[in-house]
Amino acid sequence: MIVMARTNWRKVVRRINWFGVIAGILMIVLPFAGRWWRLTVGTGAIDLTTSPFGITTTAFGQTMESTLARYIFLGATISIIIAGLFVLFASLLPEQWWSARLMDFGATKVFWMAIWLVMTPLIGAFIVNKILPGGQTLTIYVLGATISIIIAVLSKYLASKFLKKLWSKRLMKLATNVLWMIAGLFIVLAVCVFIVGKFLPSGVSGIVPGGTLNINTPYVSGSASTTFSMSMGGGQATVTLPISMGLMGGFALAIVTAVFSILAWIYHPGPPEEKKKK
Amino acid sequence: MNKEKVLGILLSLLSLCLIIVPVVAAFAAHGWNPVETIMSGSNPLKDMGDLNFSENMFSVGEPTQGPNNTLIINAQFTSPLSFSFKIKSISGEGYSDSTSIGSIQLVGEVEFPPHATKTLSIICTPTQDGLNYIANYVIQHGSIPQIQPKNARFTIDIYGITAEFEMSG
Repeated sequence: MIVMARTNWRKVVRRINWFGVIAGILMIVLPFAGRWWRLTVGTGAIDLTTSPFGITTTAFGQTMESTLARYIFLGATISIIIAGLFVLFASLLPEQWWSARLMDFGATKVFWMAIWLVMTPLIGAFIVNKILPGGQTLTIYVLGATISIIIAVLSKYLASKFLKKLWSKRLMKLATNVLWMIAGLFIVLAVCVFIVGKFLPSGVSGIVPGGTLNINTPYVSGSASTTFSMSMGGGQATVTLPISMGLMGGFALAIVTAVFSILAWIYHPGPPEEKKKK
Repeated sequence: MNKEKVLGILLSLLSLCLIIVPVVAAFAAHGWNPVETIMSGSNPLKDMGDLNFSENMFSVGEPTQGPNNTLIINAQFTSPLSFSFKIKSISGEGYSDSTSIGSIQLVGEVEFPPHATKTLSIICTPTQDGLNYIANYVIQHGSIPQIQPKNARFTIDIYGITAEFEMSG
């Protein structure tokens, strides 16, 4: 009896998706593990720390509040905790009919959150540094979007034709979605270039009367200074804004969680329909 | 419809709800007022619009004699801002009527708490011509002449943001 029980227990343990167990626990912990990214203007003129689960902004010593942001971040926190629980249950009981669905729901969430958290300041800095000063042409962005869309469509077609293993299909799906996101970003940049070209033909410096604007913002992490000078009454004013950004401890945990989640997703057995097909 | 598809639809609906419900709830909490919903508390950035310093904002007092033939001019300034800032430096030329007296300089940086009035001590170091002018003025009028700043240069620090103002004339 004891030997049989041990054998069954071993089978159960062997079936557990351990990557998913770790990922699920990390996902539940992640909203409480601190912020992911910070932005500082001056020495506290603006202090912003954020993650997909919260934001703290102080401007000139006063805390800024937004109910909309607070509720959206609360929604994201609940979402990731539910996703973590789903990944955990799916990993503990991978043979259940609902397991693959729950894994699909939760496994890629942290990956996309991490990608967006990096891409948003990166694209924001690119727009501020390269597009707002003007002089950019649309061609490169339209070409970038077109190439990304072609590769995404092609890879989806090739994956459906040639990929048989579930893990390779899932990996290709992830890669295709990343390509769609890149295409989307190129489109956003193209729209920005178009708007700047249309409404600010001489770049953002044109809106500062008799002045200059040297925009310099770090990309995701680092320090830089933006300077603008303008005529003011009978004189001249020059304002220098030191800007610093950096990734925080919570982001490191997010990366670890994203890696375990993706591994758990790739490793996880498929839904019963696919097993029947095999 | 099999149970797997139903679960798939329910999970999609859950994702949708977790995006839509917080947005709707936030707007409902502020009576569908978009400005209140987005910016619920105070907005200190609005005060940046008041950042309009000029020479007229100083009320300059009577100059007094300082060490080594210098003059000390005490100027009062009231901050219009709801956050603190520092006047790090003031420099320029001191004039009486249209005569250049010498260089002027802020004695030390002054920190202004929100809406505070503080005294800025400005030291004027007269040139030889300036000293002669002051001596004649004292003989004629019995007091030290009023010194007005010209071509002044202010450096202000607002939470690490440096603003330099150059006033010509």
